[in-house]
Amino acid sequence: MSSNPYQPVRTRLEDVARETGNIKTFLLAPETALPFEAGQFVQLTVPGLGEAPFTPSSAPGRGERLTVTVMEAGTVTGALHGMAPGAELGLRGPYGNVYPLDRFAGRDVLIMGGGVGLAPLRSLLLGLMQQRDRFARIILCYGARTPQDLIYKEQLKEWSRLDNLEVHLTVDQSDGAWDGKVGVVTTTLDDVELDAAGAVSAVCGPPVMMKFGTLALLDKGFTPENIYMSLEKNMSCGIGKCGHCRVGPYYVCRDGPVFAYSKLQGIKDLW
Amino acid sequence: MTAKFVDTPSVGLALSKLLAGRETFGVKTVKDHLRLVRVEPDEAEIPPVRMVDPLKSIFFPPRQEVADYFERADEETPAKRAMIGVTACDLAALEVLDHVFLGGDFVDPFYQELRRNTLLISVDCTEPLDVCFCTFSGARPYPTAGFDLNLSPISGGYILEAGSEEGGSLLEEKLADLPEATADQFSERERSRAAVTQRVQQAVQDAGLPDPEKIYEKVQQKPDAPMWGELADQCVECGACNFVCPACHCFLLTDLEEEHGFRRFRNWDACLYPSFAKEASGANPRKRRSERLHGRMEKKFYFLKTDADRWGCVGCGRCIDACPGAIDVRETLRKLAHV
Repeated sequence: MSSNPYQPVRTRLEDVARETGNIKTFLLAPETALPFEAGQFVQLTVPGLGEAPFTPSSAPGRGERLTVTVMEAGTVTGALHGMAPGAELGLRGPYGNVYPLDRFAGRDVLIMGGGVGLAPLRSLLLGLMQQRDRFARIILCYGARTPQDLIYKEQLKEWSRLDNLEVHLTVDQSDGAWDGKVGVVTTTLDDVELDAAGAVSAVCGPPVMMKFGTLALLDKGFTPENIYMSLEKNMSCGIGKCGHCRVGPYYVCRDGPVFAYSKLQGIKDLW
Repeated sequence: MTAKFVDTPSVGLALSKLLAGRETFGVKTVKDHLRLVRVEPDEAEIPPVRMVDPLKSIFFPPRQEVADYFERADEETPAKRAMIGVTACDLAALEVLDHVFLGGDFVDPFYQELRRNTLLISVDCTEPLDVCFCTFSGARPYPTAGFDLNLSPISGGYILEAGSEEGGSLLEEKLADLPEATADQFSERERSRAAVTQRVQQAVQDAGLPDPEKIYEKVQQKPDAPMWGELADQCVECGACNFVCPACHCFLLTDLEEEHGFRRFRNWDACLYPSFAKEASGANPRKRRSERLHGRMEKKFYFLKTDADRWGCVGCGRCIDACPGAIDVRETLRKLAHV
C-alpha cells in the first residue's frame, strides 16, 4: 500500500504562549520532523476531534520543532486552547506551495499582516531575515484591532530596533497606553516610500483585510503579479482530493495557499 | 483484443468461471430498481441500462476508515473483487475519480487498492432511460475504454470482449472453450449500438441540450445570472444530487475517539450543504444556495475540464431522478447556454 497521507504523526505539545485574549502560540515537536518552506501549511490534529490547517509561524527549516499561532474559533482550535504542555497532538504535511523567494531576490519586500494573519508572515519574515542579503529593503506593516490584539508583542519591539527591517505598526482603536499610529493597516502604506512597481508584497489577514489590503497595495503601485496572498479556505484533506478549498480553477491546498493576485483577479467567490 | 461469444443460458456459468474466488458485486432488480448489491456471479443480472447506485460507492465508500492513530493499522490485503454490469457513463465518471484519487502528488491508497483489486465487467446499454443524455458530450451508451471485459447483447447471447490485459488473459485461461465472436456478430453489435446511440442522441436533441463547451464558457461568465436564484427556490440543499453523482468526489474527514486510540473516517460530503466552504474565520464564500448551485456546475464544467480534461457530468441522469425539488440538470444546462 502507498503511504497513507491521512495518517498524522504523533506530536508533543511542548509549550504554549499566550499572545492575546484569544490567540496562543503552540510549540510542537513531531515524532518525525516535517521539513517545510515558508508558505506551506500543516494539518494539526487534536486527537479524536479533528484537524485544522495552519501555516507555521516559526522559521522555515528542518521542522523538528515548529510553532503555530492559533485564534480560538471552532471546535478544534477551542480544544487546542484548553491544552497544556505535554499534551498529545498530531501533524501531517507540509502541504501546498511556497513563496517564490527567487522572485523576491534583489527587490524591496513589503509584508502586510492583519491580526492573527501575521502568523504565517512571521515564518516568511524569519526566512527572509535568515538570508537578509538577498533582498533590498524589508518592510513590515502590521495592524490589529487594539494594542492588546497585536501578536508577538515582544518580538515586534525587537524587530523595531533592527536597522535592516522597517516596522510600521497600527491599531484600529487605541487604548490609553498606545502612543503609536491609529488606523486600519492599509493606512501604514502612507508612511512607506518606495518604488512599488519593482517591489513585491505578501499579505495575510482576515478576509476583509485581505481584500482592502490588496486593493491598497494596487493603489500604491504594486503590480498584481507581485502581490502574494496567503489564502485561508475551508480545507479537509489538504492534498487536493476533498474538494472543499476550491476557488475558481484552483484548490488552495494544492495550487496555493500562496497566490499572486494576478492569478486570482476576476474570481467571483474569492473574498 | 479477444472476443468470445457466450449464449444466454451459459452466461451465468461463464461469469462464475471467470470470477471464481472473487468477492463479486453486481446488479439486481430490487422493487423495480436496478441496485448495486453483493451477488454470486451467476445471479448477477446483465442490466440493460445504468443501475440506480453510482459505481463510485464500491471504490469510494460513503464512509471509510482512513487512519487509526497513532498506531499504524495492520495493512490487510484486500480481497480480489469484481463488478458485473457497469455502464459507459459510470466508466467515464471513474476516469474523473481516478484523476482525483490517483493523480497529483498524493495517491489515496484506499481508493488505489480497491481499484487495483476490482475487475470491471461492463455492458452495452440497450434500453436508455428517459433521463439518459450521455451522448451530449460525444460519449456513447456502450463502453469504449476502462473495462476489463464487456458484454454486448446480440441474438442468442453476448459478445464477451476483453478490454484489458487482465480481462484478455482471464478469457483465454478460463473460457478457452467458448467460440470466438464472428464478424457477423460484430456487425449485429454495431447495428444495435448505432440504434441505441441514435435514440439517446435524439433525446439529447429533443431536450435542446447544449454542447458542454458552451457550458464551459457560460458557467465562467454568468455566475450572477438570475437562473441560479430560480434554481435555489427549488433546491432543498439535501445533497442527493451529490451523492448519486458518479463523478462527485468531495469528502470530509472526521475523527473519533475510541478506547484504544483514535480513528479517522473519510465521508462523502456535498457542496450544496450550506457550510461546505465555510471558513474558520466565519467567512463563507458560497453562503447563498444560488452560489452553491452555480459552484457545483462550475466544478463540473469548468474546474474538472481544466484540471482533469474530463467533464464532471457524464449524462447518467441520476440527479434528475434523485432531486426532491424536481431540478432537471438538462434544463439547467439549456438555460445556462442561453443566458
